[in-house]
Amino acid sequence: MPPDFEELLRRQMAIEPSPGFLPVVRRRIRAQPGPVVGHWRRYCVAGAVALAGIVMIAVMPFRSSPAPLPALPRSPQLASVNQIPSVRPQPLEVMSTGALHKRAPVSRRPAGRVRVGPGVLVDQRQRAALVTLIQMIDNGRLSEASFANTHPTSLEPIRNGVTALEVMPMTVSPIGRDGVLQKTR
Amino acid sequence: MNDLVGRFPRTLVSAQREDLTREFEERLRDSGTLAFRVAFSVLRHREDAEDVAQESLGKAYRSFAKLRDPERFRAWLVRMTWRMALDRRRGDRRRSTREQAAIELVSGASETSHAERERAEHLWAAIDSLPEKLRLVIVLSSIEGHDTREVASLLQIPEGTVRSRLFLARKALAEKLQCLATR
Repeated sequence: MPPDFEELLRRQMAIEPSPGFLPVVRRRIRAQPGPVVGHWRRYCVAGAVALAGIVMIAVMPFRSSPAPLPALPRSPQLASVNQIPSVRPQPLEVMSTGALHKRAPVSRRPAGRVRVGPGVLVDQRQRAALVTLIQMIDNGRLSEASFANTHPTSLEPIRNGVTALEVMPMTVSPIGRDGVLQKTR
Repeated sequence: MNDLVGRFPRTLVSAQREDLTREFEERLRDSGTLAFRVAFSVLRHREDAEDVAQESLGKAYRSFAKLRDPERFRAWLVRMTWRMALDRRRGDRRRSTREQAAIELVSGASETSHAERERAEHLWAAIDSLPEKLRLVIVLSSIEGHDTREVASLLQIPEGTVRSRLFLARKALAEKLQCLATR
């Protein structure tokens, strides 16, 4: 660029605003509500919302998981057959929440979705026997040879409390001349 | 007790606002003229330029909590004023007649010869034809006291970029002015 033009541009840009320029700016500023302060409030609110979200996300999986199963007794005692009530083995869930079912409305869950764990089907007597067996093996009171000589009582026929089966006589009427009505296939 | 709790943040906010207003007054004294000159380089009309600069400074005041750093404030102010001046110019249909009046005003119609007014017209026509990036660099560097470093700080670009843009702008201006002179 020619130097004279550069000088001209410098002179053109050396223009000063009128004396009333700054007072007008000050007047305009005074009429305004003021600079926006208090960003910390927004940050606090945003932080609280974020924290609540994180807590909700963290808690949700635990809430949706099924209720924990009751723990097995640590030192089960061997009970005699007469002391243990003769009840049909029931799913543990039903047993544990039986009291609640009296007042609470019927669950809307479909019956097919009820989760039954493998331990639920074990009878209390069977469980006690298994625990005793394991304890005996651990203590060395039961050897392999003596275990092999044991005879499982479950294979013996049940004698007490079961009456002999009785087959009632059945009368069969003879077929008439017209035969019997049969469904056509 | 509740009254005290309610008053405390309000007092804090008003105190903070007073501090901001005091700081802004300093910036206004430093950068008010800069805003006016930037607006003038686009509009070439004193009243319009003052109006745009005042509006831009008002906006700067509203956002001053975020612009307390002096360098950041000046850069923001230049960009904002430039944009607002361009918008004003686009919306102003009477620009051509005003420009004529402005050039006369700047040059001092009574003192300046017809030749100088013509040269000023040519100069601004050439500057207007430059791409925006080059135009802003040449205008800011022609303001007294602005070296390459200051322009780089105002535009928030590297000094090397300012130098190269300045070189390109001067070259383009020389060509355009030569073209205008031969017409």
